[in-house]
Amino acid sequence: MSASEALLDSSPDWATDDAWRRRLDSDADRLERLLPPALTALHAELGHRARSAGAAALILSGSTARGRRTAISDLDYHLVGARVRTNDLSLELDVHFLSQPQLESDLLAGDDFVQWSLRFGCIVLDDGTVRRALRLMAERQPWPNVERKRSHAAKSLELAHRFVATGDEDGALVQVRTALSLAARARLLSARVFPLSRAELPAQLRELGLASGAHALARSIYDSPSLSELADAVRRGERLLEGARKVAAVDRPREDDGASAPLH
Amino acid sequence: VSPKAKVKLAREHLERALPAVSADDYTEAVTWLFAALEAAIVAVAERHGIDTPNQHWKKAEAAEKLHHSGVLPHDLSETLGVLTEARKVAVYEGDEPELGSRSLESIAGEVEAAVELAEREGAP
Repeated sequence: MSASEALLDSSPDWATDDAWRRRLDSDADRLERLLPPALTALHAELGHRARSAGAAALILSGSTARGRRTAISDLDYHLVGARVRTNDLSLELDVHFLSQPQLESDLLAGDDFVQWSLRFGCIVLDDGTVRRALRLMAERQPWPNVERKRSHAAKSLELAHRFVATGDEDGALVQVRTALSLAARARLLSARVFPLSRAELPAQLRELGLASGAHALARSIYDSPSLSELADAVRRGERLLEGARKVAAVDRPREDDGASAPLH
Repeated sequence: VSPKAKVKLAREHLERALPAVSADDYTEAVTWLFAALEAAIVAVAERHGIDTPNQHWKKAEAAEKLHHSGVLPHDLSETLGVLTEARKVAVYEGDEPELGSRSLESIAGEVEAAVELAEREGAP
């Protein structure tokens, strides 16, 4: 059972010690299955450093946790606790550090990445912090802040537009991919669909009938589009965002209406 | 718009970054500094026959190799790492990134030195 399904289940995995133990065992199995062999040593080293530093929790997040890595995927984690040294490790590693109070406040303030890790992440270690956060999320059902995501996406698209104009194909591709991912997430959230990993966003957009935006995003993930294609992709991203604005204006989730929000 | 040579792009991206560094505009500054440094590293790597695939960590590995072989006087992979993280925090989360013991100005200085080196390497 996935974390998101567990949130809706009548006997969620955080509710009893036995169920929680089964969840941790299941996540350990998933980790073994999903982690590419080339990254196991990196994962083990981070786990070792987190334990040595007394971290409250470590969650494997992102595309690896969904089994949907691409050639450009990082290895993402949320670490709850003090910072550990990572600058001597591969830059493929992307660790987001949080304090325990920050985890709770970010969760309730609508930070979609923290919610993502709690819904879909693989728990590597937990002193009870993740379990409490899952309980809190099930009780309050906070929905990510659509307006904030839309605002980041708008800024990022504007930057992508300028990047394309510089003639830097590689740099523009990175920025366009970032901007389209943000626009897709804003659009999905505004339609009350929780965005999955980057590689899964095109399919989620298609399910909403947004094939053009889906195609542009997929091209930026898997191919090397020309500068003129990237310019067109930015326009498609702007259209996605326009859709997010319209939906959000009609059906903008209130801060306190998360309890009625469906989980996807 | 036509694609341009990396060494030229490195200089142009740096010129875009510097006003943002002075204005403490983190998102603009780290975005363009990151692009300038990547372009400079790729320009030098290409000159020395080192392949730089599109993954950002491969460019850091190329910077490390160039330092170990004496081409780059400093290991720029760490600076690239700081800028990678900073860019993600600024662009994805809209927050002011932590730069550790560094400042935007000191990072801009390192990037400028890398761009100058790429220009010297590329000079006929």
